[in-house]
Amino acid sequence: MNSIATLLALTSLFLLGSSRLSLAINMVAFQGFLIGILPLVSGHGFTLEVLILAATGIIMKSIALPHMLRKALEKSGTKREVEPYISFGASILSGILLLFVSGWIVSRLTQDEGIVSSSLIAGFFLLFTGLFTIITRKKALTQALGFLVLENGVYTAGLSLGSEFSFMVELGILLDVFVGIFLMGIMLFHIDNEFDHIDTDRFDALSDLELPDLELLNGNVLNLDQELDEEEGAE
Amino acid sequence: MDLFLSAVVAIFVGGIIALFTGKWRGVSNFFGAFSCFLGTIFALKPIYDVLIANKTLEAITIALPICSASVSLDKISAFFALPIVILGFISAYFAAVTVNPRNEQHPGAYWFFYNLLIAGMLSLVASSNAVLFIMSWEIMSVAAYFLIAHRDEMNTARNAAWQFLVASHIGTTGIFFLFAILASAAGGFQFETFHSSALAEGSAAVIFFLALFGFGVKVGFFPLHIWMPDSYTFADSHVSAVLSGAMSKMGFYGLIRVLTFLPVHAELWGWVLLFGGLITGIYALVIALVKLDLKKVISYSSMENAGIILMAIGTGILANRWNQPLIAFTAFSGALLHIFNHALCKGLLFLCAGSVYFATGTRRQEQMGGIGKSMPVTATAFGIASIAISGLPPFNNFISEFLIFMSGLKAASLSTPKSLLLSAAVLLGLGLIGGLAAALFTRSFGLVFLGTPRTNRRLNTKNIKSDVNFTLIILSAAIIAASIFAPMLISPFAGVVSEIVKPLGITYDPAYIATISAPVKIISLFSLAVILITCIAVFIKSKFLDKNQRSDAPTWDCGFLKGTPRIQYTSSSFSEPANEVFVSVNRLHIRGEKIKELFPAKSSFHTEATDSAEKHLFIPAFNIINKFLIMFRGFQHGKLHLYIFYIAVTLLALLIWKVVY
Amino acid sequence: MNITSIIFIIVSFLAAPILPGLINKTKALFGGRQGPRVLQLYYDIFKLARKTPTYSKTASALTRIAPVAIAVSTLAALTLVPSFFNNSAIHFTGDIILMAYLLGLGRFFMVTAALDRGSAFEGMGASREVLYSALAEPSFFAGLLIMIHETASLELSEIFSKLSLNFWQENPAILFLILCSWFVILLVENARIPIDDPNTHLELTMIHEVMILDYGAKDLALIEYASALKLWIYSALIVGMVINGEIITSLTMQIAIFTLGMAIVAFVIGTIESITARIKLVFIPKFIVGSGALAIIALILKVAGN
Repeated sequence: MNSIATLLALTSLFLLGSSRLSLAINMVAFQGFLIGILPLVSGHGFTLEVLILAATGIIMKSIALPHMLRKALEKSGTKREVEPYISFGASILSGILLLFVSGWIVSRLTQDEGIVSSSLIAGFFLLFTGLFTIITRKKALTQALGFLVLENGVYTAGLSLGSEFSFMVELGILLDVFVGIFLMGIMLFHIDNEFDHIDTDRFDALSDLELPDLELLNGNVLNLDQELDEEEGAE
Repeated sequence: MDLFLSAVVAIFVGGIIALFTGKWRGVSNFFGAFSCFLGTIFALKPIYDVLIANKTLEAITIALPICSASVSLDKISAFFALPIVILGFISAYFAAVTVNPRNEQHPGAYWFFYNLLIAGMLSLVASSNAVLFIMSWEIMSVAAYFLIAHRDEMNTARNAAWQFLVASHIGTTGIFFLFAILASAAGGFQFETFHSSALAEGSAAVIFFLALFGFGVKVGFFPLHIWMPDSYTFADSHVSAVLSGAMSKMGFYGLIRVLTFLPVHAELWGWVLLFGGLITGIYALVIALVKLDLKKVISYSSMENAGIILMAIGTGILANRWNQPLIAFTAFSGALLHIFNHALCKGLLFLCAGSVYFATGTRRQEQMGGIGKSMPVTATAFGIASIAISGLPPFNNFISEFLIFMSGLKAASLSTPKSLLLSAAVLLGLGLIGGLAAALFTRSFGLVFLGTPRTNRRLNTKNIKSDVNFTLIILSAAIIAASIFAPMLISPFAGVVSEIVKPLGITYDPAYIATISAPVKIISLFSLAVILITCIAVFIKSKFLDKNQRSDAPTWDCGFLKGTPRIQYTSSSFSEPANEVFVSVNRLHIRGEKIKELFPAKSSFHTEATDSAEKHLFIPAFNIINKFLIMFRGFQHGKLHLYIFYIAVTLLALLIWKVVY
Repeated sequence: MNITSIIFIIVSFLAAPILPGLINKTKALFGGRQGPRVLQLYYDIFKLARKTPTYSKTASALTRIAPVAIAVSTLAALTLVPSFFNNSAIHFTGDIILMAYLLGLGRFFMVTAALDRGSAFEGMGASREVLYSALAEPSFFAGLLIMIHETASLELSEIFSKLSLNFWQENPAILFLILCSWFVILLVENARIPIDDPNTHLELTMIHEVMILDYGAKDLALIEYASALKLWIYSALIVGMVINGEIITSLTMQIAIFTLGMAIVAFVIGTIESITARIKLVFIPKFIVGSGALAIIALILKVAGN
């Protein structure tokens, strides 16, 4: 359990630091595999449900979704992530900081037994890492990967809290992830088609919010008596 | 009460049907107008029951999401429903007749908002619950916004509507706070609980001033009036009639309602209303004298009359404080009668202006002239309305101003210096206001309908819609009737006055009604006599004495070589003596070329003035606010990453907060 | 409505045109001339009444109606004037307001009819007239305020009868101030020098005369008569204010003293017209407001004195 949690944390840090997109996808696939075998080692036994859960997790997170994302990557023809808002080195340092933060939160949260703290820490850490990736990366693909990591974190945290209904919850989460990434894959394709790039930082050009004209308040245009002539022309 | 509610619902439903049948213009027109007619006529019966037959109607309870609201019609509500009903009917007729099925772009939307406005106002006066009140107030304001912006292809209408919306909502915040304070003190939203709740000492003053602010915006209290002239000018004329005749009265309704919630009225409030009203009235006329647009002038006159009414209410409050019930009774009766009379006059003025606008295509008085010969009905109606609005006998506004004068005069016979100050303010103020109003309306009447046309703009006689003359005749007849039958109006209105002061614990001696009816009866007889004798004398003169008159010569022009219509007085030249006297208030800006040579070939001269309050008070204030708010503009950049960052930070902060505490 | 008031109305109706004649005679006296007859205005009115009017093409029905309306409103105002120091024909609380505004109605018709004929001159007179009358109203009411404060009554006849000679004797300053104030109002409202010159038709001096420039024949007769009647009303107000008729018992004495008072007023007007010149047009608003200020000063004196 602890080792898996450590491995998860390491893969996330790797994701934060790497700029090669195909490597990132592979990392996330590996992370998916780890998440997939987590129920098996978490001490719930080898019941049928657990087996199905593990199998579904491995198939989806380790094989299917990364495959889809690789396909989208090939189609778009990009190879590397562009310089993110927070540089790669700083990202890794931030990752370590986030690890400390999640550790602190979990230590404040847990005083009871029955909760495996290391995987809970891993869960929070994956969550924060996922969010961090979404916020700081510019390519849509990396953001999709960040979303996947986010969901992994939620899954892990849920699993480590060890409730009775976690099976259903986990399946629900899996469904959610599947649909989300599926849609994102489609979106990536269409975005690339339309804009010829998948740089999300350039999307603010789509906003059409305008500043109001300050001149309007200087009393000139508001003297509407002068508008009479213009208006009468319209009649 | 069922009848009243069903009237409101009928009007609203008619508007919806009109909206959906917008494609078939005639059908839409029919549904919108007809539902308005039906609704207003149905609403008359409950009003009559409450005001004249002195019945009390059962309240109906409606379930709202927040609370359950009750709807009832007491005397005050019934009184204020009168202008809505009368003007709603007449304006709907005007609209139905002038909405040309071929040209009108959105008759469906138009009728929807018009009916929504009328229904909103009717439900406003009937609500006895704060939540329902504010809901109706908002509905009324938004419907009015859409009506003002109806001609949205014109920049001026859009600007005016925007100004209206902003001002209206600034006022509505005041009303929100007001009701919040009242509701928290009373523990509920019903008006009945407000009456009996115990308010803290200072909060009564806060409530009053919030009410004065919030409702003062609607009424046109200086300096909250700046939205009013533009909104009334650039809306369609029949809409302006409803807005200034009915919607602005809703401001008075709100103010009087709030006064009934407060158990004690401080003397300061009376002084504030008195002098505030005085300043409002005089300022309105001084600025109106500078303006050239016919409807803008009429709008400023609305503000002036609002000032008069506020003065009367202030006098009433002061008199109540000084234990002078007769003076208070006279003042309040005068205020109520003036509200009613003014609604009639203002409606007529705006409808006439609308008729003129259709015929000439312009609102500038400088470009009109001589219309009276082609539009005799409109000219007569406008003349009657002008005499009435200047507060001259034999028409109705004189009677209500007479009552207000009376309260001022009676105060003069008390010996205290304060009552003398009140009396001086009322007498001198009303005298000046009346004189300036007469100046204003002689100018408008004379320039528009008399003389010769001032430009080559030919009067398009095809555009004269004589179908609307019916509305003008009805309103003129109403004005004359209100003047001749004024004593009959006093008794029901006295009932309303009694209800206004009941929460103060004051009851008025029923003999007061007779006391103030006595002079009013004589004045009404005088009015009737003057009208009849003048008509008879004119008839005799024209039939028998002017038999051989000649009317073929041009006006004597003192030997001008080529006297043109342009030598006639224009509107700025007519008010030039007055403008010079008040130049410090209206800040007239004059530009021109000085004449340097002996025989100048060409010269120019230009005067202009904006509303001083707008230019020197609000525009600088809004500029400062704008500069401050620009700083926050940086948040709306469109960058996806930062948006997600905001979300993440918020969630993290919440998590940490939850964890730490 | 009793015999006295009916007699008063008939006498005023008949005698009003004498006042301008007296004023003109006074001015002639100062100028060392013979001057026109005292009854000249009667002759003028009868001459005009026989003629047929000629109207301009621009004039509308208003020009035909206005003279009648002016005359009717002035006559209506006459019924509210105290008759020979007794009650007016019609009296009720606040009748002074009605009287002032009936005269205002006449002014409204005068001004709008002036704009009816499309002439630049009449517009000039109209624009000045509306301003000066707007400023004169508050001044008039200011003087009224003092009288109401003193007598605590609201009917004009009652006010005048309660203003005892004692009061004037004790407060000569107040009497002087109110008298000046109301006298100025009389000069303003009736278009006398120093506000307007009734003899000339020059642009700079015209206010009232110019508004009636285009009337002729019967219309002019009506308007000249109405102007004389208006002067009579204002003079009667001043006479009634100064002289308290309660001490005079018999009707004939009242009529005599009233006539004497009116003659004195006419003489004073004529004197003022002869010895002063017209003040500059831009000073007239200040002049009018100044007269109102005099009344306010009197009010303050009175309040301070109590």
